[in-house]
Amino acid sequence: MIDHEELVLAELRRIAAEVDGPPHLVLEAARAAFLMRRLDAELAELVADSAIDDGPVLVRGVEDGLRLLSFETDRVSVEVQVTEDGERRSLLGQVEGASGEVEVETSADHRVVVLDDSGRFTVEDVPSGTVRLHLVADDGSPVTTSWVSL
Amino acid sequence: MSDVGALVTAAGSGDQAAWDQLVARYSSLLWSVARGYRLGGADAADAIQTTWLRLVEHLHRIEDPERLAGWLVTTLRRECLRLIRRSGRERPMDDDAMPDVPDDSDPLDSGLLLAERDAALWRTFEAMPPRCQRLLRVLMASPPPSYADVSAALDMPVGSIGPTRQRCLDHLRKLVDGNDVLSDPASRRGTP
Repeated sequence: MIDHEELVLAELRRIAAEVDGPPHLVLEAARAAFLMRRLDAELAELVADSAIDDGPVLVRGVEDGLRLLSFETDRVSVEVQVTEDGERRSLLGQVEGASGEVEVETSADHRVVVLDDSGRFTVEDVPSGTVRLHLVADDGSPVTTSWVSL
Repeated sequence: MSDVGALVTAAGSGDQAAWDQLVARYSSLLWSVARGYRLGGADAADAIQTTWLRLVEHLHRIEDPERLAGWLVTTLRRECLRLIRRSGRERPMDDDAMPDVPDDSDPLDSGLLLAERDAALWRTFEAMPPRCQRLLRVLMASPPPSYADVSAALDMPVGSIGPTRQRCLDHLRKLVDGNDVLSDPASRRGTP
C-alpha cells in the first residue's frame, strides 16, 4: 500500500517536471560540455577557492569582490587573484613551474598573455562565466587548469 | 545502475552519445538541487554547467561510477553555496531558514499549470519552511534520488532524511487539508 505522503510527493514530482524542469538551454550546454575535453594536457586541479572554502560566518576576507584561486599539478602551481567589477573580471596570476605564455579560455573566446620574468600575468576585462587557463610546464608538457566560474 | 559505469567508460573514450545519456540521466537531479537551494535560473544554469565541465575533466578519475550522482551533486552543492554566499545573504545552514536568493527567472508561472489544483498544491509547497522546500525539491527529481545522493546534495546525514521528509510531508498535508481547493473532494477526482 502506498501511503498518502508518497502520493503527494509523486504529484509534486509531476508538477515540478511540468513547471520547473531543466531548461532546454541547460541540457544543450551540458551536452556541449563534452566538446571541451582536453586529453593532451595534464589537469591542474582547483585545490583552494576562497569563495568556497571560507566558512559562511567568515567576515568577508581581504575585501569585497576579491577571490583567490589555487591550481596545482605535481610540477606546476597557479595562484590567481580575481577582482570583480560588475560583469567583468580581472585576473592577477602567479605561476610556478611554467613559463612563456598563458592562454585564457572562456566560453566566449581565447586570449594569450605572456608571463613576466617572475611568473606573473594579468588579464583584464574577462567576462563573467566559466574560465580555464592553459600553460606549458617547464618540461614542455601542456597543463590545463580546472574550469572555474568567475 | 551498473550501466552507469559503462557510460562513464564510453564517455571517457570519447563517446558523445554515452555522455548525452549521462546528461539525460542526471539533469533533473542537478536542476532540482540547484532549485532546492533557490538559485535563480541564470545561477542554476551556471552552477550546473560548471559541474558538467568538471565531470568532463574528471571522467578518467571517477573511481566508483556507482557514486557518480553523489560526485555530481557534491560538486554542484559547492557551486551553489558559492553563488549563495556571493549574493551576500548567506546565513548558517544548520537552520530552519535558508538563504533567500532572488529568483530572476520566475519559472513557476502558475499560468503554465494545467490544473488549478496543481497550482494550489505548488503554491502550498512554496509556502513551506525553506528547509522543507529544499529537501522536498531535491526529492522531486526524476527519477527519484537515493538518500545517499540527497545526503550529498544537501550535506545532510542520511539518517535524518527520512524523519525530516516525514515531518515536511506531514506539514504539507496539514496545509493541504486547510486549503479549500486542495481539500475539496470533488477536485481530487481523477488524481491517482
